[in-house]
Amino acid sequence: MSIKVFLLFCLISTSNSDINCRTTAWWVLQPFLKSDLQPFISQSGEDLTFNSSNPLANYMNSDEYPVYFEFNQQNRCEESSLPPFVANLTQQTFAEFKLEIPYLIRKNKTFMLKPLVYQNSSLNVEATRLVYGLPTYLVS
Amino acid sequence: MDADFQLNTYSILYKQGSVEVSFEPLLPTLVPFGSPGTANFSSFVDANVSPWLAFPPFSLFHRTQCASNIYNFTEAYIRPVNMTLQINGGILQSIPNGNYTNAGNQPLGAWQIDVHTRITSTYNCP
Repeated sequence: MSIKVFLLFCLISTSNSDINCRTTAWWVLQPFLKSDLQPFISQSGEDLTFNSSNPLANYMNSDEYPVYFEFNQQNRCEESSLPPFVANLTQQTFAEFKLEIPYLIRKNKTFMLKPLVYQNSSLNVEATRLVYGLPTYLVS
Repeated sequence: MDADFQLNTYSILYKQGSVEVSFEPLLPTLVPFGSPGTANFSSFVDANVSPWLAFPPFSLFHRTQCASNIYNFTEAYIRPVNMTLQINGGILQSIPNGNYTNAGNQPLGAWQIDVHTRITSTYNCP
């Protein structure tokens, strides 16, 4: 348990640094009804709108919108600001699923929303929630 | 939760729900992005250009911040895959349960990828 607290401390205390990973994954862009996606946007509390002229709009119906699924294995993730020995000690490998909605408009700028994340590492679930505030859940 | 790159399957089991995915590779091996037949992957590159929204709970000034995933796509290895996806028990919240398919090599497609990733810390959104 003390090691886990130490690792979490390292991850959070270096939250101003980047994380480097090797990603092996399957990525999917899949259309879904906008009405199915609206609850995610509402839950974010942000003033976000669908971008009807997104680059993929011509490949789907007008009532649909792209969803980006990431089925990831994140390998040997390291904090870039840590000394090599500590970075190696705190290195993380884990599986994660991310549901993302791209090309949303907020204040005339384009953003991606990540309304649902599953990970199989309790340490990373806590870090993702504390550092990025993403709705992240632990699965075994 | 399991990612099996030998069997080309991915599964998630959470409370009462599950996600079961299988992928059929359309090329025998991963190839560099930019190789013939990989042009449709550019839709994934485009989708990653914009930052994503973060909501760090201890942010002092702005609740909503941004972060970016910066991928080294010029050195990425990819291949198109056909996908069969089964969603059960409401595990993806408002995404309806059901069976979904995706015929890989198209702008709205499915791809296997091996790439270096840099995830930035949070910053003020543009």
